[in-house]
Amino acid sequence: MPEHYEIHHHKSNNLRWIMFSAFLAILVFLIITAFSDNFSFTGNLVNGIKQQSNSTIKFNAELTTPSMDAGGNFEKVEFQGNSESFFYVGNEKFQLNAKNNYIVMNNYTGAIAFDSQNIVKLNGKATKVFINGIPVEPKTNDILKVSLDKDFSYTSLSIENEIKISKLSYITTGEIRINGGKKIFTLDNEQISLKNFIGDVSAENNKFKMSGLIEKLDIAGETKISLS
Amino acid sequence: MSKKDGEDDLLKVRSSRKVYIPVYLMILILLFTIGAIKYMGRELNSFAFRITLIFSVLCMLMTESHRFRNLYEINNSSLIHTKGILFQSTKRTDLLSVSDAEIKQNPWQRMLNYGTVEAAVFSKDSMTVMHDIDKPMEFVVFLEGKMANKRGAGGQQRGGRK
Repeated sequence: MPEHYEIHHHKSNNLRWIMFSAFLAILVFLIITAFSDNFSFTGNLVNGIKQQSNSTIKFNAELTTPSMDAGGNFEKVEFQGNSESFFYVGNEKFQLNAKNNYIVMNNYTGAIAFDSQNIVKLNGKATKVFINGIPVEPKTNDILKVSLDKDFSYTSLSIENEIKISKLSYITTGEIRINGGKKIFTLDNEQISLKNFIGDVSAENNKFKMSGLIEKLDIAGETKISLS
Repeated sequence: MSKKDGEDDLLKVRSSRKVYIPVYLMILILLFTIGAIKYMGRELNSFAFRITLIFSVLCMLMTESHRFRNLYEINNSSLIHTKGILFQSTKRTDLLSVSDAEIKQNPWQRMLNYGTVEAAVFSKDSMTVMHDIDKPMEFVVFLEGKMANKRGAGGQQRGGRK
């Protein structure tokens, strides 16, 4: 057989191997990402970076509720209120009551965005969900996809263990307690900026309670304070 | 394999799509896996879904472009091999100069009735290879028919001049 046909044969053999390797890699990737809940591209690298947090200042506050878009892994997310939305849990959808609903999600991973009145976005996964006291558990796998398709007007919202807020800056009124009440700041429409908050938050009647650790706090207004 | 101009005057063939059955199988396995993941209610990673789609589309494009890269044609006077899509090279071999034709098939190709035909021009160093064409036996029979016709016509012409 002429030489150029042999070269062509070698090239097409290489291409076949590349194609087959790509196929295997994609197949394995599809299966791993679907069946392993802890899969992450960055893996322990990012976890390692997260653990090197410099948040050391004990921070407790009761302020007005900001607009927030948070995401992460929370041990418990609890909210009450009303909505005409459907609440999607796994493959089921639940019509929420117009008057009062009480929802609890355990081990929630995903996004949650809210302002002083509404939960405007909720999209993630949870291991167990209670809707008005009725538990919903996964059937075939160990996680449930959860989402809301419309705003949920909440009367109370609580996110526990733990929410990470890398930066929060807004004009607020209320009280801040540092290091277990050793320093107390009372704010009246003053600008606060805090960096790297780790802890629990809850919102009720436009009161936003935060309890955890921060790396830095700046208050600008009548009182000008910077703590780090 | 396609015949044109009514009375078997022209035969045009390209590589058979049967060659790409393993590629089509890979695409099917990936799509089946996605279906199974959805059916089982598992979370489908959007990046994995996207690369599966890109891989499938690329495979389809590559197989089709590979197939369209070679066109083999037999007419009344020559065997023509056109290579390339945008940049083409055409090799014409006069049917009078074709000495013999060889069919090469492995068991898989025999089962699916496709194979490689090598048309030699009195030397193994100068031959036209038609890779992975459908019904290679029919192709060779057609080629031999055309060769016989041309040789008969050539003989008649030479006889007429006498």
